[in-house]
Amino acid sequence: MPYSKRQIVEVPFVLNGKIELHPAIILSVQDVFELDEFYICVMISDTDNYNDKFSYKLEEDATTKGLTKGSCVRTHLITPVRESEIVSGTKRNFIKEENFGYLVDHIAEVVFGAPFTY
Amino acid sequence: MSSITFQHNITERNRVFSRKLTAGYFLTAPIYLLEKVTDILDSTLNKLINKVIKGIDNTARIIIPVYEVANDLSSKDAKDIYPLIVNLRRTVLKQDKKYSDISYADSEELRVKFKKLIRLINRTEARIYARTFEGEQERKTPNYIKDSLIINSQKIIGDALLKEANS
Repeated sequence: MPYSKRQIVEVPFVLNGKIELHPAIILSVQDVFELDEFYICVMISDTDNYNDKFSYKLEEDATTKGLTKGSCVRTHLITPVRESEIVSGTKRNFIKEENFGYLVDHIAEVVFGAPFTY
Repeated sequence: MSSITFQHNITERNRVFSRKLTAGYFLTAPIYLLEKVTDILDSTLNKLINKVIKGIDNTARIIIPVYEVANDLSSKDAKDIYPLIVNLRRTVLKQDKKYSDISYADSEELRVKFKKLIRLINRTEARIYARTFEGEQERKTPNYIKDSLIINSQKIIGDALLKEANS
């Protein structure tokens, strides 16, 4: 498993015959990959045009290496991604542990409306 | 034994010089003092941990009602409160990092309390964040992304089901 949880990878999308790359954060643990050989990812948009509750702007120091300024996680765009679909050779970048914790809680709260008790 | 020797040395200190007692004093006093200091530090540390736990509980007591009413906040109120909760999260994360660096002073209770508080603050922040967009014009995700996600998901899930059926 060359990729791991919290890692930011690039995933291609086809738009009018052209390939558009989008960064995505791996949410899933290693066991998911070992069972069915895919990663569960949440998409990142590198434009800050999105103005909705599902678009969570990443703080500048949220990742180990910089991302495009204004990058935001589109928290409702969660998808399985095969290893072969991930663009190899991209620099290794991770969302930091505490920001990942927030992201997962944000998804649970805003996307899934999962109950929470203290 | 060490404390007896130590006391004895103190009471005997104005008497005639005794090589045996003096040697005993210098051998045992540091150990006795070390034990005493360790006891004091231990008790101070426990008091500190209890104080921090109390502080965490108090913060949680303030945040819980905010979390409960956050879904009813107006966009304006949410925008006013949002920076405060972000700052609170950052402060608590810094504190958590500080205590995590010293392994939460071996207190599992302290570690759990911090983790629970962080989750509570995260969920509250997310709830308030969502409310800040109440009434805002939303911009839809382009269709090519949505289509790719759906096709991709269906294919992967289909493959997984097929694999399961064939096994």
